[in-house]
This record gives sequence, C-alpha cells and structure tokens, in this order.
Amino acid sequence: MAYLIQEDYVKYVCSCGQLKPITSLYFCRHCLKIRCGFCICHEVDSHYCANCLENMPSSEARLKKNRCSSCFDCPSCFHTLSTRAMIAQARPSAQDGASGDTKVENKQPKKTYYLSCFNCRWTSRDVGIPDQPVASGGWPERTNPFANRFNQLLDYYKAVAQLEKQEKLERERKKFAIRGKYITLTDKTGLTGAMARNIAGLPPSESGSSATLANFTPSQASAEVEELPEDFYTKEVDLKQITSLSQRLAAPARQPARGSRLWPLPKRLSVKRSQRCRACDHNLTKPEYNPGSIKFKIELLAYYHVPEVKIISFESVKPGTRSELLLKVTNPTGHEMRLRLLQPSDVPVEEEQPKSIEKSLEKSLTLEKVCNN
Amino acid sequence: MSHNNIKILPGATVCEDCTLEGDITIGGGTIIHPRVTIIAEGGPIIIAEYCIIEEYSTIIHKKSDKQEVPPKPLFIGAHNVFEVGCKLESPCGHIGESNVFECKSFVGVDVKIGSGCVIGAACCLTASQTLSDNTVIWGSEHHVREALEKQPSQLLQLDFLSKVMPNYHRLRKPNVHKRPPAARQSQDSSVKSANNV
Amino acid sequence: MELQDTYYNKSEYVETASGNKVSRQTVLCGSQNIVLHGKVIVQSDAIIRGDLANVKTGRFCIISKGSVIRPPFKKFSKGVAFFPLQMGDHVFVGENTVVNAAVVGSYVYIGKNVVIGRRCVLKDCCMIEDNSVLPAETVVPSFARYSGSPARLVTSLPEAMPDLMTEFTKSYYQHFLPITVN
Repeated sequence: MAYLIQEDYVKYVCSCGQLKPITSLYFCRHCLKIRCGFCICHEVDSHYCANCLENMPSSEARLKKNRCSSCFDCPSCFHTLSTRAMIAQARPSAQDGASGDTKVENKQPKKTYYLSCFNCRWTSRDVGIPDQPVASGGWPERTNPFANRFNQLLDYYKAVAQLEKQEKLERERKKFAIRGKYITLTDKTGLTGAMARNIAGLPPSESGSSATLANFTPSQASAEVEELPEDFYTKEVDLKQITSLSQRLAAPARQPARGSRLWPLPKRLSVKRSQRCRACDHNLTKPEYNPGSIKFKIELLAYYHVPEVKIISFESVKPGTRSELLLKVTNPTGHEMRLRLLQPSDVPVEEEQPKSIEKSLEKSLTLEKVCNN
Repeated sequence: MSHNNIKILPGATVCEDCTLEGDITIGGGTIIHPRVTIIAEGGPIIIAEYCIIEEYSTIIHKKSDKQEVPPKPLFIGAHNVFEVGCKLESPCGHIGESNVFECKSFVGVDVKIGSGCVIGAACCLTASQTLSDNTVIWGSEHHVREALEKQPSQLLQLDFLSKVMPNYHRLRKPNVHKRPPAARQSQDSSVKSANNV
Repeated sequence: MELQDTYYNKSEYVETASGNKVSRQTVLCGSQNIVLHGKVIVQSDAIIRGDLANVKTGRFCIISKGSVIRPPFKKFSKGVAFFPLQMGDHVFVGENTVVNAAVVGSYVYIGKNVVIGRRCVLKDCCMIEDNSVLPAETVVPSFARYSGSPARLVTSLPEAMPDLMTEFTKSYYQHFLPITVN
C-alpha cells in the first residue's frame, strides 16, 4: 500500500523477521523496535455497525450475537437492505384485505415500511413479511428451531467448565495444603463447602450443575437418512426458486432450500481495534471512540518514524555490467538521522542468493537507524 | 448514414449535445441527457414515451447480414430507464416497458427483453436469450432472480427533469406537431391525461 | 515508483485563480452550482451534473477522463428531489467511473470503471478498486477496501491512508504539467 495502487517494491524487515511494506508496520517508541501485525496484540475497543454507525456496548453485542439490531443484509445477495416507505392507502396490504372498505373511508394516509434491496430487488414482501408501521426496528424475528437444544448444550458446557474449574481449584488447594501443611479455612472454622463457596462468591450451583450434567442426553448419530422425495429426479428444477449454497450457509440455523424461505439477515458488527506492543504492553495505535472518526489517539506508525525508501528509477541487472539504481530516502521526523548502506559482504551469508532486484534491495536496505534525539 | 430523419414528439426533452443518426423517433415525455449516442444504421429506432436516457448511453440498431426489406424497427417501450454509460445493440430486438438498464450494462444483439426487467450495473448480456418479465440480473456472476413486481415508474423524476433541464441545456425542438395517425390516438390520450395529473 | 509526469495540452485546460485545472472538453452542466475548492483537476470528457443539484468538491480532487459525477435523486411521497453531492479533500476518481453518491468523504480513492450507486455514502479513508460496482445506498466505512460486483469488503487499509492519499493527490497535481502544442 505504500504506493497506493502499485505493488510494494520496497519491503522492510520487521523485528520478528517478516518482510512488510512500510504502511503495515508500527514503531514502538518504548522498545525502539519495528513491529508488524503479526507480532503485536490486537484488542477490540468497541463494536459498531458499519451501516448506521451506531456504537454498541460489548455486552450487548455479545447478547445480540455481534449483529446490529436495526440494519439487515439481503438474504439473496448480501447487500444492505434499505427501508422503503409506502403509503398504505394506495395498496391495502394482504392482511387488511378483508377490511378494505374501512381503509378507503380512512382518509388519513398511513405510511408503512418494508425492506428492499437495491442490488437484486429482493423485498421483504417477497417472502410475506408484513409491512411495519415504524421505520426502524420491530421486524419479526424468527426463533432458531434448535434453540432448545442449543440452550441445553450451552448449560451443559457451562456446567462442565465450572466443574473443571472447581476441580482445578481443589487440586491446587490440595497441593498447597500438602506442601505448606497449612490448615484450610474449612478445617479451621468448620465451615461447610457450600458456605465457603458462598463467601468466595462462587455460585452455589453444585447440585444444579450436577443435575444438568446428569440430565444431559448426548446427541445420537444415526445411520438412517430421510428418503429423498419420489419426484426428486423427475421434477423440473426452477432455478429461480432454489437458493444457492452461500444463501443457505448465510442462515446456518435454517439453511433454507427455497427462495421463499429467505429471511433478512441482521448485519454483522464491525470493531474498532487498538494494537499493543507485546514486549512492553504500550499501545501502538488507539482509535478515537466515535465510529465515523478516522483520527487516532495514539498512532505509532513506522510511516512517521522510519525513513522511507522509494525507488526513483532502476536499470535491469545484467551480468558483468554496472546498473544504476536511484533511491529516494525521506526522513519523516524532524530529527537528524544516520543512515548506513550495507555492503553485500555485510549481509549474513546463510540467506539464499537474491533472485530479483526487489529481493536484493530488501537486503541491502536493512537500514541502521539511529535517532539522535 | 446518408440522411438523418429525427422525429421528436412534443413533450420530449432532448439535449443538443448528443449524437443522433438515422431514422429515430422519440416519444413525448422522454428525456435524453447530454452525450447520448443513438445510431439507427440498420433500421429505424422508435423510443416510446417516458423513457430516461442518461449520459454516455449508447443505443445502436446494428446492421445485420440477414436484413429484412424494409428493415424492422427497433422498438423501445415506454418507461425504460437507460442509466449512465449503458450500451444496447440490437438488430431487430423488441424492448418491453419499465425496464432499467443500470450503469455500464451491455445488452448485445439477439437479446429480447420483456417488461420490468433490471439489467444490473456492469452486467454484460451477449448470448442470444430472452428475458421474461420482471427478471433481475445482478453482479459479476450475472445472478438471475425474478422480482415480485414491476420496477416503479420514474414519472416523478421525469417531471422534475423536464422542468429543470430546459433551464440549463440547449434542447432540440420537437419537430412533429401533428397528431400521429389514428392508430396511436388512444395511447396519446392516455398520455395527455397522465400529464394533467 | 514515483508518479510520472502527466502532460496536458495547455490550450485544452483552463486554470483558475484557486489552481483548479479544468479541461475545456468537459460537460459542466449548471456550472453556477459546482464548487471546486481549489487545486482540483477535471479531465476531458468528464461530466459534472450541477444542473440536477449542487456539487461541491474539496481541495486536491482528481476527476479523471470520462467520469460522470451525478447528484443522486430520491423519491418521496410528493415528488422527487436531487441531493447535493459533497466530496471531501484528496479524492481520486478514476477513468470512466460513475459517481452517484450522496457523500464522498476525504482521502477516498475510487478506481477506474467503477459504478457508485445512488445515495451511497463513502466515509473518509476508503478505497474502491477498479471495475467495482457499489449498489445504491451502500455505506462504505472508514479504512475499508471494497472490490467486486456487488462490491464487498476485501481488506482494511493502513492507518496512514490519509497521508498516502494526501501525498498521492498532491504529487498528481504537481506532476500534471502543461505543454504547448501548436
């Protein structure tokens, strides 16, 4: 990306050994080392919807399965759906069809809203979702057909996790007791296990979790598969009615086989992330909270600290002849900078012979940078 | 083309800065933006009422080897929208009503188009085919689906454009003032009533 | 590589006091409604539809050959309205691209042969690759790189995108030089 639209001709060696263009590198001010995306910590700062630019607290985001509550993607082409208004008087909706006469008498035009895709022209009316009286929200949600089983599994694994945690604690306590020969709280005071757990703030769910564990029925694998319908091979296929694989997989809970079963998909949230140096735990980048902002509170990019090398012109390399290479080196900082070009003899020998001009450049440009602050 | 015979019906808005060659009829209420190319080399082109033809669109009635004599006209139905940079090449096609040819779409020869179709942006139809009514084609993989209803008409946009465009553009004047023959009488009266609304 | 010099025929271009360089072979409809905020290059056969609604660009924008900048319309229950089209600073619009967006932020790179659908919102610092199609009403978030038809997010952009775009558009302007052809 250093050249925006051209290939990255010049690459820099990150402190982890990766070769990267300057734009994907960071410079830790505290370690004085170049870092790249592979050798730093990525942290989620905030969740937001890329369409409505609404921030969502992370707890709510987890509850909503990292999906926006007001924006939807088209189930047919995955483009964002738009809300469109319609004056109900012009066309009574299907459910009010019976009371059509009262509708005409009602002179007040009522606006109803439906979802529509500008890319493939899919609308929420295609699958019979009734129009909504409000512009955003209120769209009917379908419950997952396997919700019960999901919750069972969730409870089961929660119980398992808790049990393991308890066992681990127990083991540590035992180890501790054996090594230190201290009297534990229970031994000394005669508190029961449940009371101790209560004091420690652990949920008193010993009996509850064991009940979940006991009641849980594992899934059964079955060799019997439902027979295909008899006319499966003979029925004419209407491709416009059948969903594609990607359309089915976009709704994993239902995997609709027919176009009429498609349902709007809540839009996935995006995140703002900050990056942190693994060695010293200082932030390398930290964006501003506002989702629309492109500013950073902390922005330690290599682009601002490391001299940038650009190729101005080069001649193709021919054996036995000198070829000219014109480089431009820019110092982005306001400080003096010392630069040393390594000779080929200075380059460690274990690396293989450079194959192309770019490769040889990368090596000779392993620059020594000393900031004279 | 040796001679140009361009008929512009009253109510049409045709910018001067566009290339019109051959025998072309432009219906009332139709709007032709600047830099449009319409070439009728293989036979006449008839554009019905209330079409919008945007910048850099090209409509060519191509010459073909098995030309009938007299050449069949290319008839483009009412309420079609040709968005910026679309291209339509047709030797004797028939384009229905209320279609949308999105930006940079290409419709080659031997494509018959029904009504209410949408040719998505940058979609390219070259093979010989017939699009049934309300077909929507979109994306680089040319996905096809059927829309529930026809594309909404652009009457409101036409209304706006026909008011605004004369203030900014040099226009070609309508040159057909006489009422067309009786065959089109009924259509015209419906047009007139629509105008009054 | 550094940007190569682009030469233009001196008699073809008009240079304004604020440094805008506009080709004479463009169609600027309703020029009183078009505001180019300085050091903007509009190349030949570009169309800017100021007659439909106001078009405003920031500084250092490049509108390449054959591109169409067109305010989008929206239908309401009573009539239709064309929205003004706003463009930020340091925006590059590639050749033969159609821009129907409502808002184009700053530091935006739009490739060639791209279609930006009606009422799209391109936030600051985003990139649309060549030959992409952005369907109507798409919101492209900051630091996103979109590609394909319909365009989808392919990757994110480096944090230094504002600096890269500033450098790119400024050097494009500096390398856009007149020659006199007789």
